[in-house]
Amino acid sequence: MSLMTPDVIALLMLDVLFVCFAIIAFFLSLRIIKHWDSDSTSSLQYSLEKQSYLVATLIKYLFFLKLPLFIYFVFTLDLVALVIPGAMCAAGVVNATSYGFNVFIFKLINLYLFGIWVALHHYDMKRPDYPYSRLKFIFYVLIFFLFMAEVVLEVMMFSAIDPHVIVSCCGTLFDAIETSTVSSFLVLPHWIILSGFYGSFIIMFIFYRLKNVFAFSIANLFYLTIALIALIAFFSTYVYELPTHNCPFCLLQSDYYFIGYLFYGSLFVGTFFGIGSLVVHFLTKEKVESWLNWSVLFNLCYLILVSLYAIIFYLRNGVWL
Amino acid sequence: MIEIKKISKIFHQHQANEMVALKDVSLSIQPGELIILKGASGSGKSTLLTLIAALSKPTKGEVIVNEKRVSKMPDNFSALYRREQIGFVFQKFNLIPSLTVYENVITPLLPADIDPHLIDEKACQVLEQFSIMHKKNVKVANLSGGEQQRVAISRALINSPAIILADEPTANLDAFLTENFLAFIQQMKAEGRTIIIATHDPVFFDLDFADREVALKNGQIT
Amino acid sequence: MKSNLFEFAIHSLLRRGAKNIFITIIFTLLIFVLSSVFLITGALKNELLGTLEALPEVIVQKIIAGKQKDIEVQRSDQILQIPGVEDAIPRVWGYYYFEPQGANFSIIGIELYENQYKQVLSDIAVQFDDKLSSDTPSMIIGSGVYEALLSSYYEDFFLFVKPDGDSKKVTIGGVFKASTQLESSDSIVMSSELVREIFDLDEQYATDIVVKIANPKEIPTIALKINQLYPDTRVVTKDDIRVSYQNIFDYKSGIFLAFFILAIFTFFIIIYDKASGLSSEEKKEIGILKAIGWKIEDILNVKFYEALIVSGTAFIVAIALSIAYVFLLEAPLLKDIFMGYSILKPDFKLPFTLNIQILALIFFITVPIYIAATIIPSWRAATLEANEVIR
Repeated sequence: MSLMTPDVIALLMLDVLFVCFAIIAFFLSLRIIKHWDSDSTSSLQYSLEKQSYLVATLIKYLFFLKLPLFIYFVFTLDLVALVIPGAMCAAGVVNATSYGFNVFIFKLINLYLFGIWVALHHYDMKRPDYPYSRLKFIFYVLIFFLFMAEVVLEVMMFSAIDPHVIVSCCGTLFDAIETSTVSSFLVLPHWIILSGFYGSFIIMFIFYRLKNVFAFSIANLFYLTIALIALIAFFSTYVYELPTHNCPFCLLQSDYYFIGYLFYGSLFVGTFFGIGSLVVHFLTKEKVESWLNWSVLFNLCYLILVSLYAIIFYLRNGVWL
Repeated sequence: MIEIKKISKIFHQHQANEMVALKDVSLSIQPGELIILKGASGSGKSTLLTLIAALSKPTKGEVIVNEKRVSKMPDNFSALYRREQIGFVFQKFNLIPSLTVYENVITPLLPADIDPHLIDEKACQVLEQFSIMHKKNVKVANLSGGEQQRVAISRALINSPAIILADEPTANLDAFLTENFLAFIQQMKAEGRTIIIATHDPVFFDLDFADREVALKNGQIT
Repeated sequence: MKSNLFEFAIHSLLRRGAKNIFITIIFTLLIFVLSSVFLITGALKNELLGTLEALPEVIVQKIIAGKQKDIEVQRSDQILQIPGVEDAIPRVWGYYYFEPQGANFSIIGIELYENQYKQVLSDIAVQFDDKLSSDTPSMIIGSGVYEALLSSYYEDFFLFVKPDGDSKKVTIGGVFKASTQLESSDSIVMSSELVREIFDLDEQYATDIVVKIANPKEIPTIALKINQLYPDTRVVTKDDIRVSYQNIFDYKSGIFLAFFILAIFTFFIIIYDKASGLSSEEKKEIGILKAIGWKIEDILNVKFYEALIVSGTAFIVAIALSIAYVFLLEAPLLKDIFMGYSILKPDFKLPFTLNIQILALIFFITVPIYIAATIIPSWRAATLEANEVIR
């Protein structure tokens, strides 16, 4: 591999650790799923109960470490950009290989899934009959495969990056004339994107007031997608104050006061609560009102933050970009 | 209200050293009763106490306390039950020798994330009650048998449990301290707590303030 | 964060002081070494990348039999003809071995009234033009060079030894301070004529040719054209150099890191061996705690806090120590290992370079790994059967 920077090595080594833990958790989960019987008083059941603590600890460890590691991963991509000709930020690195974009998507999805698992576990432990145990381990088995896919893709991505091949930088990637997947949305006129964005928030809010968890969740899915598109197509240009600069990664750099972290943080947390509420409610029938509340709060934060940039720009300069 | 329904406890089941500690024991205890469990060592009385405290699980049968199936509770619930409802005075005291008196006494309260001031209040109250306050900062390993027992009792009572279990409480005590212990039991009874004492010390037999005596022999009630 | 349990964890660690202090010290040492290595390479990398800024876009070298040879000066005229080329400046320079320090000085020649390829040279040319153009052979030296000469009692001049054995006396005309430590500590500027004399370089030849290109996007094309024009040349672009520096550092750091991580895993296997066998006293204590109402989770939490405290303390102490070691004490021993990768350079101070990235890197490969190693032993401890240990 020609890309052996210390940061990449660190990420891969941690991946090895994660895989080991994930596999242990996987096999224990299978065993638990097969033999679990809450009503049983056999010694097998007691040892399963003990093992379920181990699985839970391992999964919690993975989740709470994956969170900061994701940020570190983005950081590392930004650094790797320095050795790849043409790439000026993480966006170039992500697009240097066919895997890059998928690694990102998988990492995000897995963060959501792990988070939901931790919530499930929390509800499970609250009731003396551990009603969701079997369920949560089945859920983990599903997550496991997605997690393995993520690791495999990550390794392939890092091995495939060839420092001798010139890649496009974010300037061209997110240009409307390029033919990448994202660009097909970017050609839409701004008023459509913006009405979709604000519209989906309003719809989501209506479902929130109606306490319809299912519709609220689906609305969150839309909101997440549209929010990201709107960010790339429209709002990011107001952060950079440049109509042609659409890069979603440069927002995370110090030049822009790391505002990207606030954007993404609020959006991901908000939609996590929104989408997660449905899963939790569906699987456990627990009350998820607090989830809805947090979701709306964070999603609103995001909306206000990105809108502020555009509005302040307009107020200062009298024109839209 | 403690209900013990057809409890059996077999150690090392299906192995060469299999031992039947309890066999088909059934017992009903009303709130506020003082029960003396009589029997020689090996008769199963200690095992019965541990089952009531949900420290171990029965091989067969159930223990139901205040309508909760304590014998079937998973760990985090049985721990909470022990913490809040049971005060167990062990035969060997089971204090942590490297900790001081004060530290030992507050250990049941630590996981609950209670305000340190409240913990201090409760600790001091119970240490005063059993006259061990003056040795608050002494390591338990440096105390006499009687002092250690007072610490063990303090710890058992710090959470004001409804049920007190004592396993051979007077085994290491002289006559004077035994008297003290009896007085303590009497006071607990007056406070309306349910008390079960497993003992073969005759001083407990025919006590006027005890409600019942239950005799165990070879794992069964006689 | 349960603060009561956290305090209990601290207390618990102190009670078994000897064992825990031992582990903490070893761990601190490991992180210290790792951190020092990264701080040194980080600082060196910064320095070198700093010097890169001032480099010209393209350097043309003549390579024969795999070795660099002097290049014909007139080639620069031809290169100038290539469209897109702004300037082609022949450079005369070389390394002079200064025996008292056992290091090399870079001697850079400039033509006083021509374009310079580097800003600092233009500045020197302007500032010291009288000295450089005087009849007495003079040189302008970096502040680090001045110190080096001074320590060998050369205060006003230096005697260069020419290839033919004769010596050439050159007066110190002035001292400059460059933007990077490296340049200040090893650079000497004098007229090209003088450099030619010292190195016995014919005036038809130069060491290499520097090419300035207006539009950076055209660099690859122009590099290709130069190569076609003169097949015996190697065209080195600034990007190439930057990437190769980066790769050297990353390669070395990477290898070190790989071995280090192996060392850490071995360390933890040993720890695990020791730790997984809890002493009977510890087992009893856990049994007692569970008997009086501690949940498995509570025990796990305490163990986690213990691991966090040990690894966190080790991390912070190690980082503090290594900052002191690298930047206050100038990293004796370790610095030499990393400096000796190319031409010997005289001593210089490592500039203070500390960023989140280095700290994050060191953190992620130490603290979480330590905590990971404690998970299974902690779980074993927490799931002990209470009534078995308290019988």
